Amino acid sequence: MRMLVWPLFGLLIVVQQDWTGWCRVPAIVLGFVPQAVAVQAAVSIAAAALWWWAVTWCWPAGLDDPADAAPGDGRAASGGAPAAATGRPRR
Amino acid sequence: MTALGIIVVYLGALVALGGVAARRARGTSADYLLASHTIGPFLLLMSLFGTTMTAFALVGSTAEAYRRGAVVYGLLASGSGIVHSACFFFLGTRLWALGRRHGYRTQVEFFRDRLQSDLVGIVLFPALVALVVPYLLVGVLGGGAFVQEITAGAFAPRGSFGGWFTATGHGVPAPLAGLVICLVVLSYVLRGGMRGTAWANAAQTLLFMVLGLVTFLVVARGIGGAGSFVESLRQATAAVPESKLDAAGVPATVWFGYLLVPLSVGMFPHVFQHWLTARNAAAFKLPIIGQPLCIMLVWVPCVLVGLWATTPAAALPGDVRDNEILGLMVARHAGPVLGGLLAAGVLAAVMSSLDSQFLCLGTMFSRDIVLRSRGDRPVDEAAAVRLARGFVVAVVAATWSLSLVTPTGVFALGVWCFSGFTALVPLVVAALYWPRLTAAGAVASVVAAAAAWGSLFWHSHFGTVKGYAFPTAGAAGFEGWLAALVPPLPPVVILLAVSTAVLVGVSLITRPPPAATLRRFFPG
Repeated sequence: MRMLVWPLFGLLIVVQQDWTGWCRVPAIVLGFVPQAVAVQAAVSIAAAALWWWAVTWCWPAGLDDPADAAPGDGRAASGGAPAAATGRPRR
Repeated sequence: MTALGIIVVYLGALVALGGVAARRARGTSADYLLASHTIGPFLLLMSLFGTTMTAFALVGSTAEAYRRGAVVYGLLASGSGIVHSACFFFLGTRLWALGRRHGYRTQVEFFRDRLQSDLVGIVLFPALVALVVPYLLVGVLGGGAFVQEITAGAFAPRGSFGGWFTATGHGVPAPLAGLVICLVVLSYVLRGGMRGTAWANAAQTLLFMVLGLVTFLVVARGIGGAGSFVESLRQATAAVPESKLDAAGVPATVWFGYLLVPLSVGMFPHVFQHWLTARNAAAFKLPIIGQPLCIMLVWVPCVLVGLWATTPAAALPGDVRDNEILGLMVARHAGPVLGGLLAAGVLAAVMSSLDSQFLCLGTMFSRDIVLRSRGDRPVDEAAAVRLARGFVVAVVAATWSLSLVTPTGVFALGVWCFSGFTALVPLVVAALYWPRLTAAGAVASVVAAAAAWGSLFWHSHFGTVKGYAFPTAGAAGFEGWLAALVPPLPPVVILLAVSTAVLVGVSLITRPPPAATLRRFFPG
């Protein structure tokens, strides 16, 4: 499944860039949507479906590693100043 | 007057929302700047989508569909659906993880740390601020023009009352509307911080999506005439000139250039800050999937309304200005109540971007300038915050002043601004995925991108040349020689090529980063 996602995105880009010529036809779809809009709206829906596929099968491992999380430590590793000095004054 | 009343009530509600968010604040900088990393999937989707959709998406897309036709959706919206989500997936999740690990609040902090160089920050900060200002201008210009059109007649003479603003058809003048928009956003950002901004973003994003759809349906009825609703839609589109229906005549270089423009999201400083607010990495999944669909829901109606504006039934004046088209369509075909509600929706789209940008500018100034200048000396917290707020107010004042003299339309200005951010994207991609990137390569890339952007913007007569591309065929001198070698290219293609080439070239000829630094960012 992982192997298929990125080639399918490549295919989607081909359609989105109108290499197929489908957007060059001045036709109307469903009676009121220009074909150029309809094709590209279908690209949007396909993109959402492919991204669902990507987050399901290709989600990067280790992003939520608890050892990494140090929320609010407020100090950049190269010596940034304490975060407490930057926000609103404590009330 | 009805529309004006609805707008006033809406703006008052936003000011109140900022007050509520301020009362929920925990009083820490992590809470004020990043909402204590508590933002879940839905709020993150609404924040990111609301932030990336501005007057550019509503006012600009309608105007551009009116000028160029149906091709506008393909040029910008569908590509954005793919590219924005790619930025969230490949850049956002990793920057979020590094931000949590090392406690970053701003982009500049990340790049300083990754490249162990203060010079990177010194060069990058003004470049980011200079690019955010045109982005702010897009919102102020678009929102102001829309309010002016939608409130036309509100101050017409009625007995002893009114008779004001004759030059703008007795509507609120765009500069005054832009000023009020800025002041309202400032009020809830300065009090409510990121929490207020995220709440306001979510509320406003939902509002402009729902009202946009409702307006689309009502305008369709107004343009298409009587009969069933489907018949109205058919009638409205049937009257659109055939030349506006297809994408014929758009060169492949233009298609490709517009695919690159949405890459800019990867370097928006305010989007970086929203990424850091996520509760966990999984919170990114919904925005990644939902962004293409949300874009479609907003853009398709706007593009169709822009197309219908070309029909005789729309009855727009021949000399209509780009930024006024959506306002005129709504004012003439949707009635005062819906017009007022849609005006609130457009303002919502405008302000849901402005608020993040204001907050981000303040954060960057306090973190990257004030605190860095103090070094290890103790910092007066209240004084630092006052300085940051003063900086934001100064930038907003400068932006509003520029809006009085800016000649170009929202769409053109937006494309130039986004192209500039796209030129900086190789920097963040390399910082995350290319260990060989050096500080010299990063600095040279930013300087080269800024120089190329400035040259092209000047060459395009400050963005006023429609469909500008370089080099121009038939030009004299160096440009003519270049035109014989390469086709006319959109500025974004040139900018991206220049910044990438300089980044890679200079990095390869300078000393590689220390292994200890790389281990912190590339542990595998």
